Amino acid sequence: MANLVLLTDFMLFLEDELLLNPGEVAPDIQFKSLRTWSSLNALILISRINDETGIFISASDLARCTTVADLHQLVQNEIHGAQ
Amino acid sequence: MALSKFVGPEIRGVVNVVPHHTEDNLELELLAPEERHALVAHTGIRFRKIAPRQHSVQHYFEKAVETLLHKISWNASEIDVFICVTQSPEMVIPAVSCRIHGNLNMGKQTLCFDINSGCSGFVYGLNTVYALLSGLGKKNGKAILCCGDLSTHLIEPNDKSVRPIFSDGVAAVAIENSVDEASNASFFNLETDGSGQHAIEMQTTFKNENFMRLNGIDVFNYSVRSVPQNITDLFQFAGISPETVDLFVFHQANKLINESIRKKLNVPAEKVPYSLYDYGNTASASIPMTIATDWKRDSMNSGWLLLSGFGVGFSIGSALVHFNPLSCDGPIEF
Repeated sequence: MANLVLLTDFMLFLEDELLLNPGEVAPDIQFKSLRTWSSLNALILISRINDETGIFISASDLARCTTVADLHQLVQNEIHGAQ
Repeated sequence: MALSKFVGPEIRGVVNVVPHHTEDNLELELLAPEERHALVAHTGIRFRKIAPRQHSVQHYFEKAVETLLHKISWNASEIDVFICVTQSPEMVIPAVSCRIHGNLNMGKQTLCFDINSGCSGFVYGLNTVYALLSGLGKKNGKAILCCGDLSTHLIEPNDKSVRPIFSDGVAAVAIENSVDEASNASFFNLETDGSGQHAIEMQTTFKNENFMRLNGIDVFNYSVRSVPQNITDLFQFAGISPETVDLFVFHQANKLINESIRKKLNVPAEKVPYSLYDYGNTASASIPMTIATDWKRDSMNSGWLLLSGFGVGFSIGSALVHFNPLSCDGPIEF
């Protein structure tokens, strides 16, 4: 099971799930501008986060995030909200 | 949730009809080559059936009904209940079921109407048929349930979210109210959440064209959050153990959703058949399509099937039925 608590681990998780090269993900990058971002990959990412944590990220919550750091914060908020 | 139980109605036959033409997602120019492979790997969908524009869902239903009647040796004139579930009728008035009733010379005693439903439509239709047959004055009433869509006629060709998923196909299912006192009961759990009405809907473009749009993330969240509980409640209501069931036949949404549901229910992979790879998401026809491509009389033990359709609405329909038909074959091309 992936550890999504630390931002550095979350970035590695994104690289892995979105088939990106090491170093392509950074906290201030707009995740929708990532090279492999698509509606399908967004769905894959949401399903993988659910697999790993049990939380559900809605499309509207995702739309409110801009950067990788925003997305990481959203995941942390949902994890803590679910506990 | 609407839990219900019926004793008497049983499925006698299943026929599926699909268009001849096939589109391969690995050759879909809409997507980059690496996207195509990722799509097939994650959605589980390789091939999709595409009906020509001049075809209508009514013609596929008619072909399915005629084939079904022949296979189980029923006459069109003896059908008491005839229901069509579709969201892609060629015209709204009159109902598809009434047009087919006239073309196939069904009797005037036949009750006909259409149901506007998609992903959960097969189970909603089955529940409706079981309820109607159970209430008929005659004991051995006969029904035919048609379901399915020509979904590709509703899709914008450049929509990367929708086009690689949906496929055309229909099913016709024969149901008879058994007079056998040893007949098995059937159990249903239906529910609706209209807060998700916009997740799958027809939208009008600035060119005044209407296309189906899909919010895949919200459909995933609803399905994975709600379907396992719906099914768990159904098992509890029926007093049947999940281990007893031979096959868990889910609506063929996509592999991401279906595998997440399977894992949350702790169902072994070998009990969950798929028709996604060859036929894609065939809307309300996907459950009978999957049964027909995987069910083999010799490999069944208890005979119990769990059926679950979920999606547009949002809505969920799950059923526990004992399945021992006279005829159930793989899809035929039209």
